[in-house]
Amino acid sequence: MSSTSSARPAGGRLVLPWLSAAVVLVAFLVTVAAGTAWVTWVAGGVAVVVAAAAAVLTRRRVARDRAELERRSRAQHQAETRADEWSRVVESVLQEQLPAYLTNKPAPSLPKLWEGSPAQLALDEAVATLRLLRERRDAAVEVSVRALGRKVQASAHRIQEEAARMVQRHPTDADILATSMRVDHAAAQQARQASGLATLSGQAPGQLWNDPLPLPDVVRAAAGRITAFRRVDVSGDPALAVTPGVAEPLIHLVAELLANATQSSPPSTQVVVVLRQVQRGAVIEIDDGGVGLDPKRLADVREIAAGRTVVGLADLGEIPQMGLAIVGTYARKYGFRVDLSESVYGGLRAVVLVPSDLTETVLPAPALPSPVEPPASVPADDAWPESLGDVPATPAAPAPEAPAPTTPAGAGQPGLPQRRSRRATSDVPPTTDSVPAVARDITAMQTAEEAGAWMGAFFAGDAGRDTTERPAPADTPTEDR
Amino acid sequence: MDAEEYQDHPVRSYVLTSGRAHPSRNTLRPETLVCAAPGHRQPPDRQAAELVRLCSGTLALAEAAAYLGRPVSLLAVLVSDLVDQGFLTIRSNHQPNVLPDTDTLEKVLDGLRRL
Repeated sequence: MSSTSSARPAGGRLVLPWLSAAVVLVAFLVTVAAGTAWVTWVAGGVAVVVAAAAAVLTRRRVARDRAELERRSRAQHQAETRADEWSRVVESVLQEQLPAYLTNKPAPSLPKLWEGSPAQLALDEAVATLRLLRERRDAAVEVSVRALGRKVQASAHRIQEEAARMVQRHPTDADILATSMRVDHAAAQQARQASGLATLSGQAPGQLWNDPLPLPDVVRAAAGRITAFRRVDVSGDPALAVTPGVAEPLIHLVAELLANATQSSPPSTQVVVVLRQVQRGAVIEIDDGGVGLDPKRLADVREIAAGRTVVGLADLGEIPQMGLAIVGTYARKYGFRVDLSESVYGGLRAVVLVPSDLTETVLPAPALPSPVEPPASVPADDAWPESLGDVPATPAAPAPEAPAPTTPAGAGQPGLPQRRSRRATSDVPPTTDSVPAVARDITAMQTAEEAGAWMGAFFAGDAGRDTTERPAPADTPTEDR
Repeated sequence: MDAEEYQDHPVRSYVLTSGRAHPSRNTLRPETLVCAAPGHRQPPDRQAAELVRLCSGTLALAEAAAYLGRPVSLLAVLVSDLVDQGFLTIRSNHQPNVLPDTDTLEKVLDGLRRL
């Protein structure tokens, strides 16, 4: 039994019994050979003593061996437990942490190892490093996406600028205006998408407007950045403008809401935008005629649009839905309040509250409160008709009825400079260089009203042609002749 | 009209015209004079109202375009809409009575010669 427990004491432990047996054997042989009885007795006595000693020693060692056995089996058990824990941790790292790291989801907490184990420390360290790496990687991705977004946005604005210059170079060509509009529209949408990327990666909008922007213009500016801009129907003009600093974010925010609204409703329906003033600022309501969302999904998107759920670039997923994430970002950043709810039209209603400290009153508010689109705009579906020239029109062909008319007063006369100098003294307005009225002269400081006023005065004077001023000097020469 | 000067507008031109680039009347030239129709009505639309206000005197199309920082061809669309709706009138370019009669012209010529 004892030999199972250890190898070392086995030899020594077995010496005593063997010794006692040897003594007995020797005594027996001596007795048989010599026939002396006392030798037998002595040998028997020695053998008994030796055997007793052996028994005592063995007993002690057995007890020690038992304790040793117990200790080792405990150790084995502990080792097995730890191995289990280890395998659990490894499994968790492989099956939960790493995928979470790769897909940018929040990782579940790691199972704990036993107290104070060096492995636990190493594990904690590894997790912390992993987290840091992930944050760094996200930040790096954001920085590059931001830069890319900015670049694309800038190039889109450049396209818009070129389109505008093209129209300026051909002031009478309606076809060129039509082409420019298409280009401008496409570029405006591109700029919106690019700006959205930049916004989601934490950048302020790339455009800045210098003047306060009246609310209807905010909506119309926003409409210009979506595909189906014709379907946006704005009504109400509370004579409020948003401050220049928040004009661009608000335009973009509304554009994203309008984009959602037009995309999620039938192409034949209008998206109704109502503007109103409330105690705490201005409200923009956007209703679409779509089918809305189920309550669970609506609750989710409300949180996103209001900015309570933070959606970053990394959370967009494979089919990125940037719109509401952008809305939420702006809401958080600039203090707009955005809410989504079921619309009375069946679809969704988005309500944007622009707080009163971001609005200001505009002075020259149009009198009529209910803007109806003047030129019975066809709510045609999206975008542009296929062909450019679907309107009859007269593109570049110089209109026959309007030859070179407006220059009756002085165009042909070579002596104009002289006349002008005389005009300066007379009280007839200096008509010569502005009747041709090419806007070259507008650089002068006069306002449009002034320019218009004296132009009107000139024609008024010209209508009653015979009268005082002009004929008066002309009278004398007639007599001379 | 300075072709190099570019002014950006938050409200794009195609939104102003609902995507139309061709004016409803073909008599508008850059030099055509327009003025607000009598009656001081204002169109409900903000940009249109501004345009009508601008033309409260008499203004050439190109001038109005320059003041608004918009292209002339766009103004042609906007103005012809407003003329159709009766907010603006076109100052006829070749009214016969705008041209002075021969008599007057001769008098003027004489006056000029004596300068």
